[in-house]
Amino acid sequence: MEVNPLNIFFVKSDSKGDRLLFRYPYTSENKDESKQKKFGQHNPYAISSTEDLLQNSQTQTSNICKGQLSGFTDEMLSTLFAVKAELCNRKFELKVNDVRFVGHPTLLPYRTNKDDTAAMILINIVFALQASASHSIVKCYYDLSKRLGKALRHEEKRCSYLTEEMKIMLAAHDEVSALDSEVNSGENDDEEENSRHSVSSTTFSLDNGMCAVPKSAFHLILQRSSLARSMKSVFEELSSTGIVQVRINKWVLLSFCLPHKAHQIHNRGLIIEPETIDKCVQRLRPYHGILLMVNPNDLLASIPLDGSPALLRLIKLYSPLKSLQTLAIDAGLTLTQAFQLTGHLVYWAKATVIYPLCEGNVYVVAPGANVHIDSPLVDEFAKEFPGLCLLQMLSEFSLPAPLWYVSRGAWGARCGGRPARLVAWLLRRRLLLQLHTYVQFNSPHWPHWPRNNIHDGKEYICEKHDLYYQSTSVSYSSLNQVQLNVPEPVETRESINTFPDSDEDYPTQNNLNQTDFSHTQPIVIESENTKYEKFHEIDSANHSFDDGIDVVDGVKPINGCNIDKMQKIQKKVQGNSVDSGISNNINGNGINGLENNHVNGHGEKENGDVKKTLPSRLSDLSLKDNDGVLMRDTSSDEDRFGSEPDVSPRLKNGHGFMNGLDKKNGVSLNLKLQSEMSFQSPTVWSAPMGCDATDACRVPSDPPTTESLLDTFSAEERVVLSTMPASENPDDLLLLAQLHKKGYFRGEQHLEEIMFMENVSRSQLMQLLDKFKDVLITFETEDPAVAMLYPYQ
Amino acid sequence: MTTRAETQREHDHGVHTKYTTLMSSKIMETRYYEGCDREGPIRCIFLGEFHPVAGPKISCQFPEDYVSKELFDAISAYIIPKPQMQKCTMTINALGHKIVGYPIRIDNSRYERNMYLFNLCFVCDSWSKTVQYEPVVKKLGEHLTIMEEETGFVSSCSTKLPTLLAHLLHDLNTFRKATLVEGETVMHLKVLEVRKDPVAVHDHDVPVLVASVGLPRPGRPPPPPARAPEQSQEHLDVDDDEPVEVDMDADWDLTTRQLLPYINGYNHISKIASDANVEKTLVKSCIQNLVYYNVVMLIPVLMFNNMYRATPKLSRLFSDLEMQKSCLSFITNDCDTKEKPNIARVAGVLCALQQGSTLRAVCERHAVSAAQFDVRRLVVFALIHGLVKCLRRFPVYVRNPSRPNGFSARADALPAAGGVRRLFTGLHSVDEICCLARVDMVTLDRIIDEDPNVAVIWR
Repeated sequence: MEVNPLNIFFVKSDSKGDRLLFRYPYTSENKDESKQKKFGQHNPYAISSTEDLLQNSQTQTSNICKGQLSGFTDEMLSTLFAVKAELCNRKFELKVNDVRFVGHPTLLPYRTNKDDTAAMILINIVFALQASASHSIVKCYYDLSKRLGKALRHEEKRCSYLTEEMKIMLAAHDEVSALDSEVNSGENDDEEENSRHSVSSTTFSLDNGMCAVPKSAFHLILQRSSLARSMKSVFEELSSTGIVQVRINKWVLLSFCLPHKAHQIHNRGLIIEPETIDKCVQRLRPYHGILLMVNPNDLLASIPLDGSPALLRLIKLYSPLKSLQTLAIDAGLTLTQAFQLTGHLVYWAKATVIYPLCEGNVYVVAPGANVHIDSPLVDEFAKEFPGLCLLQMLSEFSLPAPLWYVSRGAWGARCGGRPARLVAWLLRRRLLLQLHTYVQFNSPHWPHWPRNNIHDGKEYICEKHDLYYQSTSVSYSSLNQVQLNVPEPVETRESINTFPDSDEDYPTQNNLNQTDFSHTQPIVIESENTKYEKFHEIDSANHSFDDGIDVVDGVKPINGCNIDKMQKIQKKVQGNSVDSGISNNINGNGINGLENNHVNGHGEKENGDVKKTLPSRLSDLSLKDNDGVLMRDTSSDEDRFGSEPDVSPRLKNGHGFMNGLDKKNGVSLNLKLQSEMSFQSPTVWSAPMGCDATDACRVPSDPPTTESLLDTFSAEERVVLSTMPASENPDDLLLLAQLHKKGYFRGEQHLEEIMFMENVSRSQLMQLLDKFKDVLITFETEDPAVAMLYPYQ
Repeated sequence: MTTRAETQREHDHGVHTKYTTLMSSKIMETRYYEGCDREGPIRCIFLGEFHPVAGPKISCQFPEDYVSKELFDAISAYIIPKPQMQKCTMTINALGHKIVGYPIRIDNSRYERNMYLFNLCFVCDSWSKTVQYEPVVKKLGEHLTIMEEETGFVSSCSTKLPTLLAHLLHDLNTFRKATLVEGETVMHLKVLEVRKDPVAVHDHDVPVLVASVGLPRPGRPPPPPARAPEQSQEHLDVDDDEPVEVDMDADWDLTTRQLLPYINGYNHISKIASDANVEKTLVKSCIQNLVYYNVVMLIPVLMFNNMYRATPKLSRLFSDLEMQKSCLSFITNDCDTKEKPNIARVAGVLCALQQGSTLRAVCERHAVSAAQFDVRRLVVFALIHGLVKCLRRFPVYVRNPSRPNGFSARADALPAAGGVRRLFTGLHSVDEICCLARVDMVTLDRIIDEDPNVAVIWR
């Protein structure tokens, strides 16, 4: 592992010369072993030819032996690390063969015992790394060395900590070398010279057969000096987790994270460089969300007392279902702050970036996923989700389908109606990767477009989306039907025979409309259905754009939706009371009651709603209210906030809820930034155009915007567009032109991004894709910002 | 969110302008930073020695005064280290310079202190990668040791030394190799590029000649948009790269020459080995060598029941005209007489290659026949350029709810099944299993289908 340090050294240099005061690990190789190594490879019968220099094997090319540093005496090292004054207070980087030393030599004033005149002393805390370690690893170690130096300088200034510690260390060295010279005095004097080089690190009791001699000066130092112990723990924490939390002199807290290593706590073999994280943060968008790698309570507990309150708030309000925008608004942060905090959490391997969980998300098995049958993940998974098998689960995700579809499979019932928890688990281990749909304006410069074939193909592709989302929304609104709602008869079904897919059994996107829905239908039982509905509501609460319903473009749909939701809630409460399984799952503590209350409260509002039809805003509000509770509900469910009764987030949630509508109002209005926007400005495409589309293509119509919009198409493209029946609807055409002009159809932005940025609902986009399927093609791939944090070979 | 988008745009803009101003003021230098992982030229070569009176000093350097006295004094401990440290490559990165040296000690009574310490060092910029110079510095040091022992070439501070260093610096920077003749010693020096270790080559991997897929070369960033005046330059590049193929007929070793005709983008290693009648391990190491030098790339076996998935790079095909051109010319290679396909058509096929539909299904749906272009070549092109990714199928044996598979009872159970099933560990993809167990895909599919305890994971 090139991430791990090989060794840590502490060197001082002052008027009395340089000295290696401490190193860890200090059990360097045995003398005789190294001797054997040196000469053992030689053939004892060979004539040693001193002239043959090029063949001379005494050149040492490696200084690493069995993962330990070798071939350097302590004295050599101390001369190397005691740098000249010119190199102080800057990066020190030295590479010898395959070892790289990095440190930050710190020059600091230091009080000598006799007089109070401040002399300068140089200390250098050096890490030995493998030379192959990447530059960003070296940079992190440099940073750590620098911080250690600063901490020591501070402590020296405050209470002469360094002076005291150095005294202890020097005393230990002297003690041992005194003993050593005693031992050696009777023996050969020639060894005397060498003894100084090696005395401190060798366990020479073996050589001399004297058991009374202490093992090594470093051993003594480790027992006596707290600084040495701190360094030892730095080294050990670096090699084990990559996260260092050390209090120097029980005063200065030094927390440091080596992200290359830290991410391996959760995912073995996953190396994430800080540069990657920076890039990822740059690409973050408000619709992204975060997924904590650890229990939020543990995380809160581990944050030092002086931790940023913004971070605390963010974590308390965290839910994998929320987008960063929502989180930022909830926590009262600016988006930039939220992004930075996200970057921070990712850096410390406490979180990863996801697209917020919702049922419309399409997941597949990640390319680097470990699917070995003996991997520890299998057991972990079985423990976490009894009755489920990780590998079978992954095979369910082998073909892309929206989550709601997958979760209706066999495991939907068994995972206790909490697919979100399961998916979050899989995402944390980087076993799943989300696919997004990207749209490309595929301008056919070809006049004789082979219409039939392509038409079929296109219909295929686009239909699948429609089908998915239609059926989501349909099954959603028609709650009383237990059966899955079969969408409108699919025309392409006749063509099954012409397209015999070998994998017809799988509900893939492409052949979904081929496969008969009865395949998947009968498994749906009531309890499961309610669970599913519940989940769906939850996510729709946070991502209004996902179900394509509650993005407000008129009053009507909202009202309808709202009432739907009322029904659903009632339904859900029923479900809870009926199905004991669920209420068990919800960890007790009064969630039911809360819900009931809420629903009651809702009853009133429903009335209100029914009375005044005005009020998209009001309905919006109530809708939000609704969602709020549900959301809380799952977030507690999800991350076991609920399992500990008096945890602040929960408390806070409850508080927020009690606190009543005023606050909520504000939040909901903010939250619905999108919907508000649609109130504010009647967007361009809804402007009436009033002339035939074919005309519109050729002759620019009255509003200048339209003209300029249509200019984005080339002449050929206009011709093709004009032949399409869909162009006759000016609204559609305008939407197309507008999105095209803004560059959304270059295969670089996924549907969710378009929906977010342009305030379009998914259904609108789907319809557009369907109507212009001849020129818009789609492909599915990962979001690069999210995929960046995955291990790729 | 509009505000966010706007600030982002502003930010981008700000960065952009800042960047351009920097670029204009400090030419290209600003793009080099420590850790940029690029190779830089040798700025200076000097010989440091331990003078019996003056201590460490530079006895000769070219160009003169590149390494100042102050700089040398600051780092002299690493140029002339303690006598115990010798014959090891030492690189010190300090004060904006990166200095590679190979300190040498010669013990001999003819020297004033009974030993002579010297070090021939290369100086580079601190951002530069210097690993590639280490063998050169080492070899030079060893040769200088011989010359010193024979004639006292170094310690006498020969007048030839400055010219020798100048010659060395020039040749290594321009030709990346140098030949030095000094008395009877001839030194051949070459700077070898240090690349990443090549991946292991498996039986089921398919090698493709990178040169055969044409420009733009895989892995290269898209060319800058203002490309029109540079068109001729671009073509020069083509000519530069083309000879790779010519070379391959002439200069490679025997095994490689024997294998080259079989590397066509469809044959996997096992097949190449048996067709060319070369031992398989030999084929593997040969191909690995070619992978190291980026002559070939490895892709999965092309099969019509494979599934492919687009990568985010696919959008490059839509924007990069160069790539479109090369794609069209590559896929129509075999049948250029027919009507030419247009890129929209090709893009349609590529987009249809989604996880969930096999290549066969896509071909049928899009009525892709040989008439217009070769879909196999399209897939190879897309794989080489990373536009799509091939999904691999991993059969895994799920023990948990063990169900009887009835194999013991059945008469028609496949004899190979038992052995093959031992490979369903999740470590081997079906391609690999086919090669390892020497079964064909049809049989393997049957084994997988018939066993209820086997789950299939695509990834």
